[in-house]
Amino acid sequence: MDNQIKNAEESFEIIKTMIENEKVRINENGFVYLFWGWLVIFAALLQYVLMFSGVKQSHYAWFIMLLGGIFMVFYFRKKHGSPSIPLTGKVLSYIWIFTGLNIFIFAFLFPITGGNLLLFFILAMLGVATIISGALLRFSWLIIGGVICNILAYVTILTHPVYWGVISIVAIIFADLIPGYMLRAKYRNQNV
Amino acid sequence: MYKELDPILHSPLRLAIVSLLVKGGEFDFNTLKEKTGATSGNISVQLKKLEEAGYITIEKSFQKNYPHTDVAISKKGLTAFEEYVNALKDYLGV
Repeated sequence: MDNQIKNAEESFEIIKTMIENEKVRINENGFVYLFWGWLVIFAALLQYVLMFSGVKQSHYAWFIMLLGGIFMVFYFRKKHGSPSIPLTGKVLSYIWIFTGLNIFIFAFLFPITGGNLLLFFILAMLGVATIISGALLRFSWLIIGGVICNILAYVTILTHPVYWGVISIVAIIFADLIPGYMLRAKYRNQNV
Repeated sequence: MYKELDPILHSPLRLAIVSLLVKGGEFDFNTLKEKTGATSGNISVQLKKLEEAGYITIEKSFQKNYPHTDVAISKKGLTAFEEYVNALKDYLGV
């Protein structure tokens, strides 16, 4: 009898985990992807404007991403105020926090070491994180976007850095903006 | 005082459909039919009831000139399923 009760408790725990994970999926409204997508496009365009205006340190435009990171910390603190974040949510948070940190540290502290592989590293990391997010959220647009981003990472090895801004924009459109808008449409549809 | 079980979910086929959707996010009509072993007519009726209750969303399209139906759980459906499971837990005292 005790074993049966224990089995029932375990079964309910499994169902509870399933429900919590599904909540993460169903509550994904695409905001984070749209926010980062538009921020990257803004930073890339700002860099182009600075570059063509003769500013030597035009890459400082990317420091705007740091402000985006600070905003995200406050956004998630407000959104996930409760201490019990489901596993899917936790995995997604860890993936993006460490992807972001790696990109930031590498791009701002080791840009010379990165050299011609700098954007390859950034887009490859973004691509992989996007693919994993798509798999966790069971959202094929994110997986496709992540794969395209990953392919574009290799394209940067073959192209001159002057085209990197355009490649970044294309990668972000596929990895962030299209999935972001699709997630938003899906969210609106499912939250009837 | 025990919570009342949701009559929309308290039907074997509807509960099976919603459980599958909670676990798998979304399925097309044929997969649901295959997984539940129910007839097309019966599934259509139950899907309509679930859709009317706002528990699922149904998207109809065409794939290779054949009609294709995608079914997904809604936020309302997920909440209802969670309440149903909690009510069962209360009944069982676990």
